[in-house]
Amino acid sequence: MFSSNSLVTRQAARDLFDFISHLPESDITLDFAQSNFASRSFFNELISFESKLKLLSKKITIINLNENLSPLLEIVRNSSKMLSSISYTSVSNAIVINI
Amino acid sequence: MILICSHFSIIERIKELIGNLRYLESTDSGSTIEIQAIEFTTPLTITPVASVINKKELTYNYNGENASYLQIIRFPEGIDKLDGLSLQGTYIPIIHLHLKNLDRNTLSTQLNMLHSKFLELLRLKVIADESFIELITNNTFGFLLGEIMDNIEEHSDAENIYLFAQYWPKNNSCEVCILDDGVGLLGSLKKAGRDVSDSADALKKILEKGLSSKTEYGDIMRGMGIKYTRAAITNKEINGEFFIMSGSAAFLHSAKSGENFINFKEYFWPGTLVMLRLNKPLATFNLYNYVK
Repeated sequence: MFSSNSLVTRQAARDLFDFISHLPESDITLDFAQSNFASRSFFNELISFESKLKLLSKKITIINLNENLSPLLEIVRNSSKMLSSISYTSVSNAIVINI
Repeated sequence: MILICSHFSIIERIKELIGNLRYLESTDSGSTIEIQAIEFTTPLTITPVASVINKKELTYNYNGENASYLQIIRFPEGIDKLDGLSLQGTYIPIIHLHLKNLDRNTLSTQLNMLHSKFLELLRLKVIADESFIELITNNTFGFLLGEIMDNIEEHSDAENIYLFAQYWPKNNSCEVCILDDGVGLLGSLKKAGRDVSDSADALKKILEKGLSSKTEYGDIMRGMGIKYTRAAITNKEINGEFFIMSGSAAFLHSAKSGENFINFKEYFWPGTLVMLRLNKPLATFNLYNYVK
């Protein structure tokens, strides 16, 4: 479906969702064997549409993630469950420079 | 006049860059600029200069030091195709993608392909030191470039993006600069109705609160790209530098020298620029220790 082996953009995931939602099948396998790279954003968007697909009585199974992508997908899955606990650091200690 | 010196300090390079950009801004479109000297360039110091020269259709005559280097990195026009590119150095030439009038799907496809090709070139051609790639891991480059490219696609409304990478084998470091000419951080947030007053306020809220122009809903996480990029670059292993500039403000986080918030007086960079400097770690870098 994709002409590149990098899946970087959220739009790529949205395009995938559109494609899947129009398939007649209810069980769909996503084979990442040809994908060298997928971004955190792509996976985040992918996870978000798993629940949307459930409403369409569809289910996706992800297979053949390489050794770099598999942990990233897990991190994204776990992070989405802890949205409220994600913290940021203040930049108030940054030295201000005026140019 | 344009002057690019071999400053060691990144702060001095940033000051010099703003000076050069101010000079270019004061120049009439279509006119000829003067270049005093180019002693040593980095992606940060040369890429935004290229983009402004192209935008204003400026010309220059320069036969001094490093004139041939400017030619081989395709300054200032850049290239728009990576297929069939023959590389013989430790750099990827300036890449200039024209995005005007592209629909969302086509833009997404172009960025995905650029990412894939760029990683391949970086891995196979540019960073000839295999131990550098093995230790930093191609996954790290992929992750960082992916974060920036997705931000361009989601937020920038850009008509042009530029990308330039250089590797220095002598000091085992690699610098990548990516910029767009879109609406910038302030423009993107204001367009989405976010409460931001100026460039500095926008940048601070993005850094401190993950403020995003996009709305979180369900499992969708927004506003985390810059956080993760900083964490991946500025830890003690990579020991690198993260720089972002948009509008009249910029932020620098250097693992060695700490954080600087930079305000530009009477200068405004339209769009957003990100620079990443990565240094060879001593042991294999696990990106996922910093991205959780």
